[in-house]
Amino acid sequence: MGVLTFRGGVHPYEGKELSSKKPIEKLDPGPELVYLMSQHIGAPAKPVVAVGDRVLRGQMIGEAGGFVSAPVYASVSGTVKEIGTRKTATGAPATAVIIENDQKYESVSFEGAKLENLSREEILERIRKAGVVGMGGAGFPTAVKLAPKDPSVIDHILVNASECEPYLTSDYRCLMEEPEKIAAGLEVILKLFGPSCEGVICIEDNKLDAAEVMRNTISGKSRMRVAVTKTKYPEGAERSLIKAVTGREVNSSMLPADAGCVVDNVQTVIAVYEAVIEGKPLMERVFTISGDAPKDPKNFRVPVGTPYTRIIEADGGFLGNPEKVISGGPMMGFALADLDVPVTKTSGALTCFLHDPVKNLESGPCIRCGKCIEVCPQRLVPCRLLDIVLHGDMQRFQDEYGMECVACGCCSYNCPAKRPLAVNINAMRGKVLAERKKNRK
Amino acid sequence: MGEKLLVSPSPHVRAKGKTSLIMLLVIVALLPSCVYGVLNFGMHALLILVLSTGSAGAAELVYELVMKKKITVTDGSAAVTGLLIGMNMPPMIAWWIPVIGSVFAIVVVKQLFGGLGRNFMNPALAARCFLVLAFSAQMTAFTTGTGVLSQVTEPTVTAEAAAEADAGANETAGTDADSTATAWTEAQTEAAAKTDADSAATAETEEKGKAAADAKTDADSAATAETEEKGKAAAAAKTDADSAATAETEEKGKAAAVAKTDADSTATAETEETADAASGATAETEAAAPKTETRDSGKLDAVSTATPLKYLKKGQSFDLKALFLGNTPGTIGETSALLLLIGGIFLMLLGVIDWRIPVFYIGSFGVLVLITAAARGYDAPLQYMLQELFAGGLMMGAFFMATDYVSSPYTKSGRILFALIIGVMTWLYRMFGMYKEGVSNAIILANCLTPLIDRLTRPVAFGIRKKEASS
Repeated sequence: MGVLTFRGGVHPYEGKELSSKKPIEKLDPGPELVYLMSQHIGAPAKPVVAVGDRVLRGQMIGEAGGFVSAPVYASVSGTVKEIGTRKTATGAPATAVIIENDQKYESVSFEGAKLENLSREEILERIRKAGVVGMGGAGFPTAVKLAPKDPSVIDHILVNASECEPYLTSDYRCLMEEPEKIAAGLEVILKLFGPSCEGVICIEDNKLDAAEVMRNTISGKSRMRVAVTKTKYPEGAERSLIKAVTGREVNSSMLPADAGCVVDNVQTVIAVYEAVIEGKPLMERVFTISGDAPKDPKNFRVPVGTPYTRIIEADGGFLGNPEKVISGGPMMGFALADLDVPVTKTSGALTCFLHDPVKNLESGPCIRCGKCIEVCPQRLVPCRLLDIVLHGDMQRFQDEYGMECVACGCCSYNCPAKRPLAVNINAMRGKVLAERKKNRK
Repeated sequence: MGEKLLVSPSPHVRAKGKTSLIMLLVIVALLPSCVYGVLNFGMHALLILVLSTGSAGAAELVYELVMKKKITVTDGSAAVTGLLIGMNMPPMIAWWIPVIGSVFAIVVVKQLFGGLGRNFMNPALAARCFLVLAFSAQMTAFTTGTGVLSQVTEPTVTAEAAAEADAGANETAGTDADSTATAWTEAQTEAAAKTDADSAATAETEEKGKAAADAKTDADSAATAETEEKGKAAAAAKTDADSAATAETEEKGKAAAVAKTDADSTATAETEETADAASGATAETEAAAPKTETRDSGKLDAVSTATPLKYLKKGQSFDLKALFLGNTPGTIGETSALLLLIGGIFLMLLGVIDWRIPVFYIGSFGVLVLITAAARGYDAPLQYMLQELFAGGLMMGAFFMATDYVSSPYTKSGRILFALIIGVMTWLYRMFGMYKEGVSNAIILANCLTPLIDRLTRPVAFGIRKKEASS
C-alpha cells in the first residue's frame, strides 16, 4: 500500500518534542470554574441550576438546548456563584455558570454498564446524556454524528489521532497512556454500525511509537486496525483524513457519512467509552500548554471550566512576557487578547510565544507564484479568491468554489507576499452562509 | 500580565519564503552568468549590468515617489528586471540604451499596469523587444568575448567556431571565383562590399542586434565588420588571398551584407527589412583573430562575430562545447548554457521556479527541432538539436524569463500548457521564421495568453465531481 496522504498541505515546524515525552499531569482547577453553555455546535445548553445551589462533580448544570446540542456537567463540587456572561476564546460573549470550587470533589455516582447488554438506542442515549461532543475542535454533538440517516452505508469509523496541528501533543499522550480506553471506545462505536464497518485508528508517521502501542492494544480485536498516514498539515482535517485513508472525497455540501465515514477525534472516542461503559459525563480533557514561553511545556488533565490563567499558573508561569498566546495550535488557533477564558470541551491547547512570529510581517502584492494553489488541500485558487473577496463578488466567490474552504490556513502560511488569504476567504464564506440563511427565512 | 497580548488571525506561523527572498535567490542564480559575461566581455559589460539594474530600481523609486505610492523597491523585483535587461544587451552597447530599456520596463510595462503582480508581460522581455525595434543596429551589434571557460591564446573561439562552420558556410555561400554580388534590399538599404583578391567576407548582424562577422579562412584570415549607430550597419571586410569573410545583418532594421568572393570578385550584401542599413565588407589581412569594429557613438570598439544561430539557421554545425560553455558571441548573459543551467537548476531545487516550465518548454522545442532536423536530412540531428538548445536566448528564456511568476500561469497544468505554447512558437520562429531568434517573441506571446490559460486550467475543487462542476 502506498503512503496514505492527500494532495496539498504544508510542513510547519512541529514543536511536538517540547511536550511529547512528558506524562499527562493532574491539575488543580483553582477556586473558581467557568462553564460556558455553548461548548459545541448547535443550540447553547440551558442552565438548570440557580445561584447558591450546591453542585456535585458530574452533576448536570446545563441541559441540551435542542436536538443538535449537548448538556454541560460540573467538573468539581461546590456552589453556583453566578450565572452570567463570559467571553469565549474568540472573544464572543456566552452564557456561563460560575462555580466556586470547594476542593472536595464530591461526585455523583456513575452508573456503569456492560456493552453487550446495551442496545443501539441505549448506547446513543448514554453518549447524548453525557454531553459528548467532537473534542478535536469542531464540537459537533457525537450522538448526532453517530446516528446518520442510514447507518448501513457507514463502512469506516476513523479515529482521528493525526494531531497535525503543530505543538499539540494531547492526542499523542492519550494514545500512549490510554490505548485500552480508545480501543474500548471504538468497540462501542462499532457496535452502532453493521458488521462490515471497520474501525481505523489514524496516526501520522511522526508518532510511530504510538501506532505501535495502539497496534498491540487492538491485536486480537476484530474490525479494527491502525492506519499510519504521512505527517502533513492538515492531515487531521476531516476531508483530508477521509481522502488519505479511503481515497474518497467529500465536499462542503456533503457529510462524511456520504462517503461512508464517521470521523471522531481520539479524545472523543475516550469520552464515548467513559460515557457508555463507565457512565461518566464529559467533564475533563487532556490539554497541551506549549510554545517557547511556558516554563514547562506539557499536558494536563484539565477539568472543563478551568480558566486558562490557572493552567499557566500551574505550569509555573512564563519565561518572559509572551507576545502572543493562542487558544489552540498556531495554524488554526485563536490569538487571545485576554487570558481570562475557560477551558471548554473543545479547547485542546494553549500555544504561547515570547515573540509573535507574524508581528512584523507586511503583506505585499500577489506575485502570482501559485504557492497558495500548490498547498490548498481543497484545490482552490486562494490568490484569485482573495481578489474576488476584495471585490465583494459573492456569486463569483461561490462559482469558483470559495465555499469549499476549510480555513486550514495553508495558503496564508505559504504565501511569500504574506497576504491575508485564509482569513478573508473564510470571512466571505461566513458572509455567504449568513446570506443563504437569511434567504431561507 | 504587564504586556498586552498581540491578536491576529490564524495562522500564527508562516513559511520562511518572502517576495524579496525569492527575488534575491533569482539574482543569486543569475550571478554566475553575469560574472562570466563580465569576465568574457570586459568591464563595459559590468557597467551595462550595473546601469540597467540601477536604473530599473531608480525608475521604480522615482515613479512611486511621484505617484505617491508605497515604495516597493526593496522587494527586489525591479532589480531582477533590470539585471535581466542588462544580461540581454550586446556587450558593447551604448550605456544609455539599457537605461532606456529599464525605465521602459519599469514605468511602462510594470507600473502603468499597477506595479508588481499586475504586469501582463514580462517587463524585461517587453523592454528587450522594444529596444530591438527602437535601436536595431545597436541591439544587433555583437562582439565576441575572450573565452573565459576555455583557454584562448591565439585565434578567438569565434575563429574556431567559424572554422567549424566552414564546410556548411561554404555550401550555402557557394564561393566561386568571379562571383557576383547580390544585394537584397527590402527597404532603402544600401550595401557595399569590396574585397581584395582571393577573399570572401561575410559580416552578419542578427536579430536582437547582433553584428557578426564570420571569417572563413583557409590560411590566416580576418574580417572586419563595422556597424554604425541607428540602424546603419556597415560591414567592411578585407581579406588576404585565400580568405573569405561574410558580413550579414538581418531582421528588423538590420543590415546584412554577404560578401563572398574569390579572386577579383565582388561581394554580396544582404539587407532585410528596415531602412538605413548599409553594409560594406572589407577584408583585412591580419593573422590575428577576426576583428570587427562596432561604433557606438564613435566611442566603443569591439571584436565582433557571427552568432551561432546564424549557422544553425542554415542547418550548419557549430562547436557544441563552445556553445555549452559560452565561448560564443551573444548578449552579456546568454552565452553560457552551462551557467544558466546551473542557475536554473538551483532555482528549481529550491522550489523558486516550477520545473514544469523549463522542462516542458525545452522538451517540446527539442523534440520538434529533432524531428525537423531529421526531416531536413541534416547529418547529425541530435547534435543539431543540442546546438539549438544551447544557442541564443533559449536557456535564459526557459529558466529565467518564461518562469516569471507574474506573467506565467499559476496552475500546474496551465504552466505545462504555457511551456508547450512557447516551445512550439520558438520552434516556428527558429525553424521557419525569418528571425534567428524566437524565444522573446514566443514568451511574450504566451504571456498574453496567461489569463486565458489560467481560466482554462482552473482546478475543480476537492470533492466536486467534474460533471457537477461543468453544469
